[in-house]
Amino acid sequence: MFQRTLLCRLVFAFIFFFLLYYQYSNTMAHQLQSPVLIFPYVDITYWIFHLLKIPDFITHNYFAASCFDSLLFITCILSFLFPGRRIFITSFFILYFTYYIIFNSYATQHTHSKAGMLLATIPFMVPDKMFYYLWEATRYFTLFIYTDAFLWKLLRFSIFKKDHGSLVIKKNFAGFLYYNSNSYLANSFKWLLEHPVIIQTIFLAGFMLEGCFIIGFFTKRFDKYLFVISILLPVGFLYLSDAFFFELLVLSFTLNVQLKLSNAGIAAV
Amino acid sequence: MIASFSGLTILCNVMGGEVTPFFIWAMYSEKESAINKYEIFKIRVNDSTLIDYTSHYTDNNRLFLSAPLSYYYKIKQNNFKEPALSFIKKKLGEKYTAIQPLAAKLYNGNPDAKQFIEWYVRYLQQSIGKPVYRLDVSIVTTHFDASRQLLTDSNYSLIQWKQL
Repeated sequence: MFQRTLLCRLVFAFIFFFLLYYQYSNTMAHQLQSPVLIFPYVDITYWIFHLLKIPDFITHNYFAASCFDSLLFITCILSFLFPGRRIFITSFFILYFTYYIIFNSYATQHTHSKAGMLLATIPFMVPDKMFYYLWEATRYFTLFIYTDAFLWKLLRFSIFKKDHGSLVIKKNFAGFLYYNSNSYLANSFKWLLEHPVIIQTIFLAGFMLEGCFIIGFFTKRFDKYLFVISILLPVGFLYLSDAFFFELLVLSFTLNVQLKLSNAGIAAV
Repeated sequence: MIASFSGLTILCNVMGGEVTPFFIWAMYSEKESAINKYEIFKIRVNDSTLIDYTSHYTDNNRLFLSAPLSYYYKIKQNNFKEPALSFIKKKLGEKYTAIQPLAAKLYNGNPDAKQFIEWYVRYLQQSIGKPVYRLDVSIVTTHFDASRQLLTDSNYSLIQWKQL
């Protein structure tokens, strides 16, 4: 079970880093300053949380919010220190799921990237004999995420529109170009906008890289390349779409570390 | 458990609507509109300081500085009625009356501009690390000209607030 312990620590170290990032970003529950607008949209899970008034209770009570945030950090640290104690991991999962709903509700935007950290903890919540299967399932889910992105672009045909890339850059970086028109980054966007063929080629390359994940459903031989691609894609999303998908990288561990069932238990490959 | 999770995720993708945690991972697959009109927030505090929310803050912080402001703008454009409720009402037609009490509990109802602005000032103060005694937020409408330069078309005042 050495491998499971190591993986659990790797995942929770990653999560701890992002909790610090949320704290630095003024987005922990106690930093939200009793927000006013909510956005449950048409999502039954958000409806249930808001009907039960859970997000409201936590964010409109500074003491409750501080306790909630502290517990989030404490359960993360305890999960790192005691990977075998599933109660800490399950507690963290429940708290982080609540935080996920709070964040998206009050940000008035349902972002997905935080879901990666939620899903990555699930395999560590089950007994050893089921761990291997859930780790494998998480690997397949990671493949599904990128395959899904590929298929949606293909079926909507949007990626083949010749100005798709330029329009994404203009929409997402108009504000940045307005405020920072003379910066190096702004000049790089201006240069790209003057060369729409290059932008479209980069977007198409990203689309093809997403499509590469389909291979992973049939063989694990290329997982090390998929691991590299899974790092490149969030960098591309950030640079060309101003979208922050780095939390999803936690799922890439399933591509980098593969496990094999043996008579002696689970072994790393 | 794995099979039902996968099944429901695939079902959501086929139906084209998601329910947490059965997500659609579309990742910028929407067809982009070619309308050359881009709205930018101009946030000015204490008469002089212009807040560049596009680059001086972390991504998560930027989201909280801009997305609720965009949502507030939508609400204001919708005569201070929750846009999500208008959307559901339009979708459900007469059936809407059946869920009206539930929807009224869930959504923002008729959001109070004063409450929102006071919240925004509190959050902004925390983000920029200094007190705010005056806030002016306007929406600058821009477009790209033929040489890909961003040009300003108009200015609309969204928030004007002063500490009493």
